Amino acid sequence: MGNWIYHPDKFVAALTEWLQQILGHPLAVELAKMAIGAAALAGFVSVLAMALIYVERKVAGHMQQRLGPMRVGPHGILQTVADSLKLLAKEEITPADADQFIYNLAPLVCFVASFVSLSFIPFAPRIQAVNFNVGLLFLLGVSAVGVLGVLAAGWSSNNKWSLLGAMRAGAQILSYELSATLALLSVVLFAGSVDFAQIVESQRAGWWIWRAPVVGLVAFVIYTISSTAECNRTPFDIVEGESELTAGFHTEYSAMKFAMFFLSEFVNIFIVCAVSATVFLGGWMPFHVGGFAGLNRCFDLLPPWAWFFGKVSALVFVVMWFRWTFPRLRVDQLMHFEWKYLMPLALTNLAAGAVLVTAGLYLFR
Amino acid sequence: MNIFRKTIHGIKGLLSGMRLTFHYFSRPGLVITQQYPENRETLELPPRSRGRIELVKDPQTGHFLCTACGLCLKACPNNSIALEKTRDPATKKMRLVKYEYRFDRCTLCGFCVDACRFEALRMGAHFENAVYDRNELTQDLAGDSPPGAAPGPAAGQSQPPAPPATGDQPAAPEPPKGPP
Amino acid sequence: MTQSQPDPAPPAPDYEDYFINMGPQHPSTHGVLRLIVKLAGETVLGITPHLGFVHRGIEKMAEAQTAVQFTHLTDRLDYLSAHINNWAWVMAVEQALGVEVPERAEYIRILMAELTRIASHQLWWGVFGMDMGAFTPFLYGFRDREKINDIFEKTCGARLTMNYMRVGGVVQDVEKDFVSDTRAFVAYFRPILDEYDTLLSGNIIIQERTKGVGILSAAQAKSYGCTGPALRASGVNYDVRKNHPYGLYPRMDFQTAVATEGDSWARYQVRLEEMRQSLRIIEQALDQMPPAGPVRAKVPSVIRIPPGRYLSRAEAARGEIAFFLVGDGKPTPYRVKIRSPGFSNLAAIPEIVKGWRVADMVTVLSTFDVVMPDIDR
Repeated sequence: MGNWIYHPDKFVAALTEWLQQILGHPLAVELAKMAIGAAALAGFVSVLAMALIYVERKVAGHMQQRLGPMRVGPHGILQTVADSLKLLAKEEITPADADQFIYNLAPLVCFVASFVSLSFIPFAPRIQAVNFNVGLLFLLGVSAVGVLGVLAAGWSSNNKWSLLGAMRAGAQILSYELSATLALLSVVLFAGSVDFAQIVESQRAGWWIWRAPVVGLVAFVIYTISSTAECNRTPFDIVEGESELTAGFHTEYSAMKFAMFFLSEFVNIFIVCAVSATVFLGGWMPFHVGGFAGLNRCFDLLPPWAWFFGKVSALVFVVMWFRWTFPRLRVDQLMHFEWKYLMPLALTNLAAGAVLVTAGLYLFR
Repeated sequence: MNIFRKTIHGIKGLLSGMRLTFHYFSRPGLVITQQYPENRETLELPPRSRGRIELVKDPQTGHFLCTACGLCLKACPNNSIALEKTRDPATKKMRLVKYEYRFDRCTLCGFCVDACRFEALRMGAHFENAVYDRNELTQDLAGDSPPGAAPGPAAGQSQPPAPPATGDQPAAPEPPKGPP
Repeated sequence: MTQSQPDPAPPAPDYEDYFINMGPQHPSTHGVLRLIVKLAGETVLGITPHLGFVHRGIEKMAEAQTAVQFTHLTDRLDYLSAHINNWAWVMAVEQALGVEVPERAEYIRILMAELTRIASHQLWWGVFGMDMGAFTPFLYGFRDREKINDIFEKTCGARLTMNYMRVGGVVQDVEKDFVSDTRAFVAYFRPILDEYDTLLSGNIIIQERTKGVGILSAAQAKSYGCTGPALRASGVNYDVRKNHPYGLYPRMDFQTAVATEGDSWARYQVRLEEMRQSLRIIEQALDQMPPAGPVRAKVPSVIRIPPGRYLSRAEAARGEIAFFLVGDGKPTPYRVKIRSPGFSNLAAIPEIVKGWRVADMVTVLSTFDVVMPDIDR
């Protein structure tokens, strides 16, 4: 059992063996594994979204000198459960002139984009829902599909405010997608692969954020900013613009459809922080100092997935910190910032990274 | 390089804002939320708090100090008070029969208390006045067990908790507690 | 980043403009205001405010209330400057009757008025942050406002509609903790203003969103009759406390906060500076206040307003509030006309948001600090 905690891939191997005994046929075993994996991921997504929403409310509360949810369950732990039950029971109000098919499809598109993106992240050595050799590339593509959901929602709601929000979203997400990709590519240069597992493996000697001098740090900062914009979070939440558009593209949605948007927003936060942790902070790699074997063994006391979740939690906290401190940028300032500041910086960073890689000027090569 | 300096200055501003919110986040002892229904025991409202009005009883005799003069009625801006009085055959003085107070009209302005010359009116500190039936908001403050009128000190001092509302008032869900 | 400017060229000829309804219920209209906004893309081509959703007929009610009773309705005009509205009204009646207010009452009035001004600006600051998208300042502004509300509750009995002033003074003397509480508040709040600077003023995002946005020129401000911080931010040094002094303001040493650019940043800075100056006034009033004395002059029990016309003006948190009282010898006024600061300020907004974007419209509305009950009366 203890072995499984530190080596969850052994648990998967044991599971495969057990399934082999029961089912026999390798194809059936594969299908069963896929089904179990999908179910596990779905369960993980639900619990994750609930936990993240609760954490967000608590973090917001404490930053604002108040407590956040306290009543439902001890310290309000069951608050999101209660909210989910409420959303399940709510009445679905559809605007009369809404484009019904697209209106119903939009939240699904957003949710599926987030859900699929989650399948590429390595949580521990050899624990990945999908082992894909162009994982990073594919993830960037799939998460961009979320924009389609936002645009569809804004358009089909038959509401000018939603349309405004959706148009802003389209412009914003597409623009910041570029900087985010360029920042990630800088590290791909160093790691030599777009496979997530390979990227994590390449950080065995050290995390890219400090191992690639300056380039790693700059890429990390650029990625953090761009991914905050990708998730439509303050300071880039002009899309939702609670003070202007009330709820932007999802104003006209209620009950479960709204829950889908809400869920996908928080899963997106997790995904971008997970990608950031994987690419820049070493994913599940513990922090090792070369030569200090005893210290390294201390660090190894924490299982790899705990390292992973710790890093992701720290990044998620930073993203939430941004939300509750900063006001929002106006949409033209946002675009100006991206196209005139962030992208040239990202391109320069990429070029510098290329120079460093070719010259071999990075630590512990 | 002006742009460089401006960027650094901007980043410093953003980071100091973040430091301020983290300052409050890392000190949960600074939280100012009061857990309201649970803190009823210790909740202390200032003595001058303006809540629903109450008639004051004379501590010695136990009768209301109100002489039914009607000054409060005239002072009220929106007719929240109506009086019914009768001449007491024994003392030949006017005596209060019914003091109808319409809480759904009252704006808690305090003119009635201001106008009363006999200190027979007091603004109690009851703020839990929600009811399910609007008719319950029309109260007779001089009834047998009027809400809130406890035998006790006059305005300006703390009062013992009020007895639960009974008599012509349907029972309130919970007896509201006055300031300790 | 970019210097904010309105769209320089008119929208292309094939642009279809469309109307959006920033309805009575909206997070940023500061009350129940309906704005019909004509947009071309994100650019505002014009707005039309529709008022009257909070109209309660206060001026008409004045004709059925006695001069004393009307005081409680003045609380509900601009409820964030409740004490100042009270004061302006009782000043009008005192002018009519020729009543002189005791000195201690005058000092108490100034203290209450300045505390109200600070409370109103605290709320404005919090809501401004929220309109800009930073949700935390809202809580911080209210946390500090609670301290003032507690001071009010201890003395006046209520936190929002205090109804504390009467013709001839105030209802009753301040309670025993008032002076120490107020001094404690002043000591507490001065460093908090620096915190406000850290959170919003020092933030480059706020600066970029407010500098140069929604410029109100001095000439425009004067022609629309704007008063208060909106006017002073455009360079016009007009403050009722200095230009038409009332109460004991001539004895107070304070500066009028004036800025010259007339943009949203200037309006923001003027209000912060006003809070600082109000703290100075409070300290001086606490030092100068006589330790004991009557707080309410003797007035007849039934006040009949002598025939004539009387005008009183005060500097509310939003601008100049004036009461024009026409009496005809009866206890109830013949006519009360309330000059509300928000009405004139709101009138200037449609002109200055032309060419700006939707988000800037929210910024301008927020820095003008409109409160609808004041406008609709």
